[in-house]
Amino acid sequence: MGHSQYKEMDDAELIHRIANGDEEALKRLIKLYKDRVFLYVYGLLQNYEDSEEVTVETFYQIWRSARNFKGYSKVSTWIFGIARNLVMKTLRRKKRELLVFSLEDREDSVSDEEVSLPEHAEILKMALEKLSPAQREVMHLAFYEELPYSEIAKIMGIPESTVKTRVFYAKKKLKEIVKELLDESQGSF
Amino acid sequence: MSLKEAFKKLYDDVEPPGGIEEKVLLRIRERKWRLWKRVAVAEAALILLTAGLFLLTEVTTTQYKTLGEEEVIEVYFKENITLEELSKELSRFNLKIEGPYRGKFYIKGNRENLRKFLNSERRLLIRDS
Repeated sequence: MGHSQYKEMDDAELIHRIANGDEEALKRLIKLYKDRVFLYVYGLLQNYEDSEEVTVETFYQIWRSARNFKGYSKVSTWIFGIARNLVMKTLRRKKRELLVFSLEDREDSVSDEEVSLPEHAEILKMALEKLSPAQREVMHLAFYEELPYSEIAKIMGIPESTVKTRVFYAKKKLKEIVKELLDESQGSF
Repeated sequence: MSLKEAFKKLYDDVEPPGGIEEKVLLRIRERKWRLWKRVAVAEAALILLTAGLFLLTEVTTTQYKTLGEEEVIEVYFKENITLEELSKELSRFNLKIEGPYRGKFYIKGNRENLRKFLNSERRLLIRDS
């Protein structure tokens, strides 16, 4: 089978072929997802070497467990879920934890009110850097990967309502950081 | 600026590593090699075990044959003699009947006495081995 035919395959077909030992299909999947997986993992671990190792291991685990993919979720959800499990394993090994503010897990105080964010590119970038890895994770999946809350919930193994709460508080936190940064920059003039 | 663009800008500074594909494939090859080694060792163990059993069987058979040749002579009797009658006749020559082993009975005892029995009691025999 030519390489061009793999390009036309959807993710589920690639996984099906990987389950049958097709290395070309695995190569195609790696090409499609390696950077996305790496950036997601790097956002959580903040360590280049560890993130590279987890990325390699994620695809190796995909190769080994492709038969277990039942198609109940999107392939991307399944892949990010594997990567997340490996991140958690790495953090446990290094005796680190992904800190999540307990307040963020409360599901009673979230409104549908949108938290507006500023247009300042550099400030927004700096604010994202200042978010905790746990806050950045949910923001990454929601706004960079543009995954629906239902898929994020599957990846993180939490209820959809908790995802919504975490996104709300992460955005609120982001707004606070942006405000601080803007105040600082104005104060410096 | 959207959050997606902000993230893109954030990741501009992070260059994802190259060679992921090669590293994954290397890991797969290593696993295949490990599995192959495990299977090869298991097969070798099975071959050795089979060979061991074969040798054991051969040794046992040889020992059995040796025992038969030295101590036991196989003879065939007319059908109308019972085991009790035969045992009685044999006891006169200090012989005894043993078995059945693999469906056959054997006369066990001193070779000289057996020869005497065979010579004197031919009426009982169809043939001897």
